[in-house]
Amino acid sequence: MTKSSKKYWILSLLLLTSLNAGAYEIVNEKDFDLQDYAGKFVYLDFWASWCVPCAKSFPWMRQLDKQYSNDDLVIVAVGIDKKQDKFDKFLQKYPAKFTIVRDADSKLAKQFQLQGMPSSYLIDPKGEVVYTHVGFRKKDIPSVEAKIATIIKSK
Amino acid sequence: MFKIITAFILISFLCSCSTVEPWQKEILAEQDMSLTAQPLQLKTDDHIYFSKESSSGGRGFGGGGCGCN
Repeated sequence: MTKSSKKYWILSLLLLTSLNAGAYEIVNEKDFDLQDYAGKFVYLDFWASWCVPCAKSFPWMRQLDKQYSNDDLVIVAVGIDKKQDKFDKFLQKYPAKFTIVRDADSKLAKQFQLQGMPSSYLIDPKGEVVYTHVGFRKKDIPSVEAKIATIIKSK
Repeated sequence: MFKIITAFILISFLCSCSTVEPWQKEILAEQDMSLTAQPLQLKTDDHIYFSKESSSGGRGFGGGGCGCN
């Protein structure tokens, strides 16, 4: 292998690694079952491309995902956009490393009877909703993080 | 005549307001649905309205949709 081809090989490897860093799994609402996460805490967040605070919450959820990677907290973000292109564009702009559920028929949204957007639910290992939060403001972050930490530690 | 008036009143009640749920705001949040083509002007107007009336919102959903001010 020549020196220049080695360089290109390393560069392409780096590029592939960086692309993979933003990878996420998209599950259809029909294939999503909360019981699959039994035994783990689930932070279930409902978002939409037209919701401005939802976009602001994504970087924070990525950070939360990183913070609790070993503590059995799974982050699942449910997108309720009906238009596929808007759904995809949002995820391109705000990449997620956690599971994304596409709820185009708003079945999950109706099931949870959302009070606003974004709406977040912390579900305990037994499958019960233990904490709910509506909206997303930067000033709320410390209190939300503290609440999540307290709940996870207490169980 | 009485029946017609009663029917008219009953029908008019059927046309009352309905609630838009948070997950139904996708089309309402589109820019085309905004009451003005000038978002900055709308923001300024809303700020003046808020200062005078101590309330805001109800003009569009693009700015948030979280159900708060």
